[in-house]
This record gives sequence, structure tokens and C-alpha cells, in this order.
Amino acid sequence: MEMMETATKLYLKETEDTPCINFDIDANIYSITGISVPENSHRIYDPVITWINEVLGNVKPPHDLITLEVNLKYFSTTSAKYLLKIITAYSNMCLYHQIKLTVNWYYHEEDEDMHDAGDLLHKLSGINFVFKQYTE
Amino acid sequence: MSEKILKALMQLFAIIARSDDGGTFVEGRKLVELFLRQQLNSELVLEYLQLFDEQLEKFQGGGDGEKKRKRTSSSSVKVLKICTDINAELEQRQKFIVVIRLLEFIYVNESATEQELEFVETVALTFNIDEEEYKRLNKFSNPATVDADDIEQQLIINSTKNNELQLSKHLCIEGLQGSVRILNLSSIGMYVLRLYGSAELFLNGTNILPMRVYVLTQGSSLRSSKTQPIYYSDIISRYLKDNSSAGISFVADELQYKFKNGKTGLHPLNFAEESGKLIGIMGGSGAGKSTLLNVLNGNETPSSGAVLINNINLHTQKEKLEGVIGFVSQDDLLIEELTVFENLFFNAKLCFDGYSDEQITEIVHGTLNDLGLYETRGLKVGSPLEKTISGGQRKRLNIALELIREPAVMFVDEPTSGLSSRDSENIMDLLKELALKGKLIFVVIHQPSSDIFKMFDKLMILDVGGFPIYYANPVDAVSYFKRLANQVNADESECNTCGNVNTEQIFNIIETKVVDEYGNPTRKRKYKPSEWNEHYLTRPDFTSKNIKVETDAPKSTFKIPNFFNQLKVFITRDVKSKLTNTQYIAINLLEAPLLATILGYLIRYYDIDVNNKVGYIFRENENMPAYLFMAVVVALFIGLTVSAEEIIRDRKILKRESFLNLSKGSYLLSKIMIMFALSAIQTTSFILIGNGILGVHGMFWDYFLILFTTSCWANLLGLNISATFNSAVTIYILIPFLIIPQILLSGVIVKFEKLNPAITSQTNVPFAGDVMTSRWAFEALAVNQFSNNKFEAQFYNFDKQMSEAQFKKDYWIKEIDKKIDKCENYVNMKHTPVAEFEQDVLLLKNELTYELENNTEVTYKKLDNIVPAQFNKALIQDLRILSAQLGKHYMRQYNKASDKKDGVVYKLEKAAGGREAFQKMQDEYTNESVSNMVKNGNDLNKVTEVSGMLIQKADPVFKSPLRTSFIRTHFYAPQKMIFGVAVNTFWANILIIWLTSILLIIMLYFDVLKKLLDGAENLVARLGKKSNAEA
Repeated sequence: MEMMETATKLYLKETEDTPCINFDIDANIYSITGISVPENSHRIYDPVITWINEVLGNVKPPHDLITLEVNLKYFSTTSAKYLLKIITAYSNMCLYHQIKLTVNWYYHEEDEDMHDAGDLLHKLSGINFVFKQYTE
Repeated sequence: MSEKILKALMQLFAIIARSDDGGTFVEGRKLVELFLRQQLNSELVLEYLQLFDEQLEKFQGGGDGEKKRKRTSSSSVKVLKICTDINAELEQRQKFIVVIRLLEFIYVNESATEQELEFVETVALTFNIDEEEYKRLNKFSNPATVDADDIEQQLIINSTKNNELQLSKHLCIEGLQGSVRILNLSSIGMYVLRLYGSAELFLNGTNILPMRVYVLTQGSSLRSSKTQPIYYSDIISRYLKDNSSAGISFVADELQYKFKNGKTGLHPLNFAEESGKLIGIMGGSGAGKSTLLNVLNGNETPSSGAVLINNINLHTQKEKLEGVIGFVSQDDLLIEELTVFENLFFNAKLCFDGYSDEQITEIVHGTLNDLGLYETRGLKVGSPLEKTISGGQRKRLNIALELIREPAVMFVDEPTSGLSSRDSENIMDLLKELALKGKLIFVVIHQPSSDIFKMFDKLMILDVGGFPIYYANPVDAVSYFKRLANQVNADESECNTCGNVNTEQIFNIIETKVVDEYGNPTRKRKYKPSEWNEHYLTRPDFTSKNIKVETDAPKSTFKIPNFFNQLKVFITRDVKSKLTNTQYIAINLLEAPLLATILGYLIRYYDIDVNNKVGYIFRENENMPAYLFMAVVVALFIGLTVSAEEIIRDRKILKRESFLNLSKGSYLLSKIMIMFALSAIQTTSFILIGNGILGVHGMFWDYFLILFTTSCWANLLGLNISATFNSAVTIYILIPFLIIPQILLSGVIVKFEKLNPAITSQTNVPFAGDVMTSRWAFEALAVNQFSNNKFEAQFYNFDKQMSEAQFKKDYWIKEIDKKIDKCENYVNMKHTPVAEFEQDVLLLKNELTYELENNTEVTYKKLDNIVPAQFNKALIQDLRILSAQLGKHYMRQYNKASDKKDGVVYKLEKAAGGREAFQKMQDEYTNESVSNMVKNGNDLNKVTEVSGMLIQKADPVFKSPLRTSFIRTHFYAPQKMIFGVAVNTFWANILIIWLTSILLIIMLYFDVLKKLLDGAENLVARLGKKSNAEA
């Protein structure tokens, strides 16, 4: 697991069981892509949540709208919990800075389960989800 | 469990079952069924099982790795959603149970897949279960775990003598096959149990399967046919034992007690106990259990022997043991108007001096939590009839009152009487737990259930007359008495199949009756108490004192606050409890103004003659005397009724507070202050409205002082009777008895001089009147209203001089002249009897002597000559001259005063702006009826002759008291002589009422009335006995 952290950026390289995480406040990029089935979810996700709370707690993003791009092929149960935690953390920060938050949820057209998972996360978090279907 | 939760659980089970393609399914379904059976009836079980199957089908369907993983993603979020829903609906304890069931579910076929574990872990985390605790629970539930971990949360019960592990707790039960492991989920205080090995064990009567995880509820017991039962309290004691406090040794040494009448209440008793024990005391009624408790807790002094706590004598060195002993009596000691929390809070404030409110709140919350009362803390206690909390909760709260100050030794009198068996068990479990935490607890108990009976470490049995007859293990008591009574099967002390002890059997044996030849039991007992006692004395183990005697004085956190802090607590407590009673508050606040309105409105009289253009005029209201009188009656009545129930209501609480050595003075002062405050409010509202309606101008403070004083006096009288009599009914029956003489002897309804001559006096108010507060209050009101109103106050002195002069010249001198004539007649003709003549001469002498002593202008040297023997023409001549001189003198006096008054009137008229304004002032401030009353205007008899004296009947309000008098005078006197100083009636009467009030306070403090009453009762009882004996 490789992690790069600067004042306004967080970058996690994709591995065979963890996703690529790229958060860049200045460039207004927030994305999680790949698969997430780590053995110890808290080891990768706890620092990510800390980063969101600390960095966004101090710096107000220069943009009015944050779009969190989530494109995961599949994820484990504990990852699901952390995914919700990340979304909630963003939601809190956006509320604090009074900016908007949208989640772009990507799923394969045949993968109804993934769409349903996104829908449930939307219901649990109360955040606006945009569902994006892809064929390949 | 709600339907929603069950459905959610079915989904969870289905999701988890589905994630494993293999074996979980069949076994899992069984487990789901088992789980459902525990919650529901069989019909519903099928329904939910069907739901489970549906869910399962929905998710079912194999697939390759890729697809399966994707499915996992979506079901993970589903799990998340379900858990979030559950979070809002279940208590933490129930969530733990869900997790325990889930763990059981995934472990059903020995091993769980990683996927399954991850599911359950996510559930646990979403439930906010501590990660470490979850790990421990997981490991505990895992059937693969064979070796016990060495962790402090674990207790191992087996038959080995020694603890093989370092941190784990250990309990040795002889004969137990295999072992039982117990895990403490400390965050919620829950205990779970698992059996290893094949022992046949029953948890609360149901068979325990090995490898399954069971939740241990409070009061559970683990039994097997071959071992002694293991109680919940035995188990938790292992966890609690580490922090047990310093020990206590309690020794009864040759303890003996005799009643005042010489009867023995307790025969020599020896025993020794140390902390951590629960001792039961049993005995038939009249056996002396309460006496024993009272001797053991220090309330009664033994006639010989001693109670030694850590070698300190309880009865002679009481102060060293302050706060060490707690006593929970059979009575309810709760303040019904307060909430559970407040009851405990105020109690704690009286026990912990120097603690802040926050600290006390914390202690109270802790105690409430310990006793399972935390949820009910905000509820009003309510009366036993109007229940808001259950009987068991009441009892627990009573125990909490004592428990909160952490006494090392506790005595509890019949804690289970009147409770359901479930509540009884809870209470006893609590006491057992406390004992295990290091307290020494004595419990008097009646007809305990078998389970409760077995909780005791020792049982003491008393027989009629205070004979100790047993002191050892409770279960052995059955066989002990059976053997002594030569019963068959003596060794069997409990039922072989169910393990129940028939506790009544003991008393059946002890109190066996002799049977007559027809087979009917007689009243005679087969074995006398003293016989049982002889057996008792032959058993050294019953009286053994083989314990470690502690010598350090026990520590106590108990420290009562000083007088003023107690007062503060008493006042807040009382005010708070009164404020919760809306009816009480409403009636108390509305009573006085309402009465004033009714009274004022009804008697606002004026002449409705067509000629009356002005309407209501205060001066002409004929009902003012009635108003003054009613004001006094109202003050007395309200003052008396409001306080008459005050102390009797707190009787039980008072008893307890005297056990705690709290200040009685402080308590009484708090009552007095609250009552006085209430009286002040009531009096103020009464006067404002009553005087307002009737148009009494000014004088608010005058009225207030008098009526407030009266009301306070009545308050004190009420407190006195409420501290004296033993029921509220008696008190209310008594009230008319106290009020009616006050009304009758106030001097208004019946004139004092017209009472039965046997008790009355023509010169002064009779004694019967002088002891009436109403008389002082009414006189003060009337005299003050007449002489001190803004109008009359300007002329009162002139009016007084005029009245005195007028009486002398118009009535007195005429009487004197009449007497002189009569005496002359006698001297000349001797028609009248000599006795009458002598009487008349005496009168002349008395009257003239007194007159000349006080008169500086007229003198007469030969007063000594006024005796029957020297009564001749010359003397008659002298007296005639003297009388004429006095007549002239008083004429001058009268004119002088009259002139002065006219001068002032003229000046005032000018200042007021004419005669009309002056007249208006008179209309507003004076009242003719009152004037007429205090001047005795309706009585034509202006002077009366009584035993050689002439008594002035006219104008009592202007008649100064005799200089030699002390306080007592005629009615409506303007002043009272107090140690030779003339004090205005207004102040003098207020002073007198306050003096009697102080007397009442002293009587209240020393319980004078109660002692008198008790004395009288004793006397009657003794006389009754004597006459019986003679007969």
C-alpha cells in the first residue's frame, strides 16, 4: 500500500485488493476506483477518514460542488462500512463549508447488485447519488 | 422483540447463510428455527421460517468467483442498512444478543468462513460494540476454542481446587463434570456461559447443551443433580471480589435483652460473623425478631452482654460507629410527592456533608443504576394505592436510601413482604450481591421461597420468647430439626428431584402441637421453646466465635451536615414535594382570597334608601365588627388546618431521620418556616382583597401584623397536634374542639361580663378569655381600627380626656352623690340594713381614696374618717363639698379638652379644604359600628357596682388600665401594663400572642403534648389493670 499525502492531496495507489484513492482539493478531484477486499480495512481506511476530517476541517475547498466518483467492481463487507463512513465524512465537511456534494456511482449494466448497493448507500447517507451505467 | 427486528434478523441470517454455499444451510436453518422457538409461538415460527426461506431463495444461486464477489458487495451494504435500522430500535443488551446469535449461527458447523466472520464483525462494529470485546466474544463462541484464554473477563467453573490460570477467575464446584466458562461483557454487565464437557446442567431449569452460548440473566441458577447449585450471585461475586472493602467483624457476646416490664425479650445469644455474609433471621410471630434487630442495630440497649463491631461496643461507643450500621425498616420511608431521584438525592444530601450537588447527583445515579432504578428515576413515587412505581421498585428504593451511605452492616426487616415472587427474588438477589461485595447483611424474612432460602449463608431461628434455637447453614436446618423430632428420613433436607427446600417444614416441626385422644391438635406445643434452646446450647458450632476479629475502626463516608445545611435541605425537600401537589398549592393559595372575596362582598352593606345619593360609605357599614371577627377566625382556621397534618405525614421519615441522628430542631424549624411563609402569603391576599372590597383605608401593615401573628400561632398549634396524635382523622376531629372555644371566647359572640358568673369577672376579661388567642387578636384589631385610623388618631387623646372627664362628671359623681344620700338616710332613719350601709361607706372610701390619689387639684385630708362609726353629719357635709369640687373640676377638664379638640378640628378643616373634605376623611377612615362597639355604646349601664367599687362600663376604649395591673385588663382597653409600663394594646397583644407561640414551639420541640398524652394513657391503663386485679 502506497500512500502520498500533501497539504491538499491524498493519493493511494491501486493494489490487488485495495482501490485507487485520489483526493485533490485544488483540482476538485475525488475518486475511488478499483476493487476493495482488503484483509484489514481499517488499516487503509482509517487514515483516509482522518485525512478528510483534518484537511477539509481546515481548508475550505475552492469549488462550490464536490463530486465523489465511486467506481468499484466489488468490495467486502467491512469496506462497505468504510465507504459509508467516507461518504458521511464528506457530507459533514460539505455541510460545514456550505458546499454541495454529489456521489457519482458507477456500475456495470449487468451488475444490478452494484446498483442496489449504491441505492442503499444513498438511502443510508441521504446524499444525492447519480448512477452512471457503463457497458465495458 | 418487534416484528421489524425479527424480519431484519431473518434477512441477516439469510444473507449470511447464503454467503456460504455449503453446510451452513441445513444446520443454519435448524438454528434459525431454534432461535425463533425461543421468541415465538409455533405458528409464528413457521411464518418467520418461511420468511427466512424466501430471503434465502432470493439470494440463492451459485456462481463463479467473480459474480459471487459482486453479490457480496451489495449484500454488505444491505447488512449495513439492516444494522443501522436495528441500531435505532434495540437496546445495547439486545444487540449483543443478536451478535451472539449470529456468531452461533456461523459457527453451527464447527467452522466459519472468512466471509461470514467479516459479516458478523461488520454487524458488531455497526452496533458500536467495542472491538476488543467483540474479539473476546467471537473467540468465546468459536467451537474450535478449546484451551481457555487467560483473560480477566473469564471465569472458569470446574472441580479442580486451584486456579490454573493467572488472570481468569475460578470457582471450584465439587463433583462438576467438565467445566463451565463464563465471559463477562463488561460494557453492558452481561455474562455469557458455555459448557465444556458432558455434564448434565440446568440453567433455570432448562438443560444446557455443550458448545452453545447462553446468556446468564440476573438471578439465574445453574444446577445439576450431583452438585450444589451455582447462583448468579456466586458467579458475579468472583468478578466483584477484588475490590472488596476492609473487613468488618460482628460479634454478639452473651447478648440478652429484657423489656421494661421485666420480661425477657432475648435469651443469651452468641455468634460472630464477618463481612461478606448474608444472614437470615426467621421465627414465628412474637418470636422477638424485631427486638433482636433493634438490639443488634443499636436502637435498644441490651440488659447484659454486648455487640462488638471490630471490637468497638455498639451501645457504649456509638459515636465511633456512626454511619456503619444501616437499617431498612419494614415501613415505606418514601416521600410520595417526590420522584425516585429526588427521594434519594435529598436523603444523600443529609448523609454526605461537604459534597457538591454534582457529586451527590453522581452518587445517586450510581446507586440507582446498581439497584436497577435508573430508568424510573424521573417518576413520582406516589402512594401505595396510586402506584406509579411497582412494589418491588419501592422496596428497592427504600433499600437504596440506606445503601447510598454505604453502611458496612445492614439490617433489613422483611424486604419481601407483599412482593411478587419475582420481585422478592430480585430484592434478595440484590442483597446477596451486596453481601458478596463485602457487606454484612441481616435479613428478617417470612416464608422464603426455596431459592431465597438457599441464598443465605447462615440462618438464625428464634422461637417464641426470644430463644435462639438454630444458627447454621439454612439447608441443614431441615435435617437438624427432623432429627431432633425423630422424624423419618431425617437426612433428606430437600427434594431429591427438584432440589427445593420446604421451609415451612421447619416451623411445622418447631411448633408441633400436642394431639389429644381424639386426634385433634391442642393449643399446647409439643416442644417448648426452652427445650429447643437447650439443644441449641449443646451445639458449639451454633455459638462459635471462630472468626478473625478486626480491630480497626470501620471507615464511613457518612457525615451529617450542620443545623443550617440540614435546614436548607429540609426546606427544599418540603417545598419541592408541596409544589408537585397542584391541588394542595391551588387550594392553599386560593382559599384566603376566595374567603375574603365572599366575606367582603356579602357584608358590604349600605343603606339603599332613596335619600342615599352617595352609595357605600365605610363609616356607615354596620358589619365591620363582623368582618374583624371573621378575619381572626379565618386566620386561625386556615393556619390550623394547613399545618395540622404536616408532621404526622412525615412520622415514619422522622423516625428514620432520628436513627441517622439528624437534628429534630432543624426539621421543626423548616416546617415552621414553611408554614409561616404560607401564612404570610395567605394573610396578605386576604387583607388586600377583604380590606379592598370593604374600603378599609390604610392600615395594611396593622392588619397584616395582627392576622399574620394569629395565623402563625395557629400554625404552631397545628404542628403541635400533628406531632401528638396518631392519625389524621383524630386531628381533624380535634380541630372544631380547638376552634369553637376560640370563637365563643373571643369577646364578640358573647360579652365577657355576661358569661356564667362562676367564671367571669366584671373588672377584667376572665381567665377563660385571656387564654384565647382570638380575644387578643380581635381586641387588637378593633382597638387599633378605632383609635389608630388616620382620622381618629388626630383626636384620640382629646377624646380620651373628654371621655374620662365626662364619665366622672356625668356618672361617677352621680353615683357618689347617691351613696352619700343613702348613707345620710341611714344615719338619720336607720331604715336600711346595717350591712348595706357599711358596704356603701366602704365604697365611698375606696372610690374617693383612689380618685384623690390620682387627682392633683382636689384634696381632702380626712379620708381616714370615712368609716361607719364616724359617719356623722359633719362628714356628710364634707363629702358633699368634696363631690361638688370634683364635679367642677371635671367640668373644667372636659371643657379644656373639648376646646383643644375644637381648635385642632378647625385647623384640620382649613387644611383639608373645608368641612366637606374633612367629613369625607371621616367617612373613609372611621367606622361607627366599630366605634360603638369599643365604646360599649349599646349598653345603657354605664357604671356597675361590684364589691365596694364602681366599675366604668362606658367607653372601655378610653379607660386606662389600673397602674398596678399586669397585662390583664378589661376588654378593649387602649393599653396594657407590662411591668409598670403602659404599652399600646396593638403591640401588647401581638407580643402576647408571640409569647404563647414561643411556648408552643418549646412544647413542640420537647413533645410536651405527646408525653402528656402518653402519661395519661399509661395512667388509665394502670388504673384499668388495678381494677381488674381487684375484681
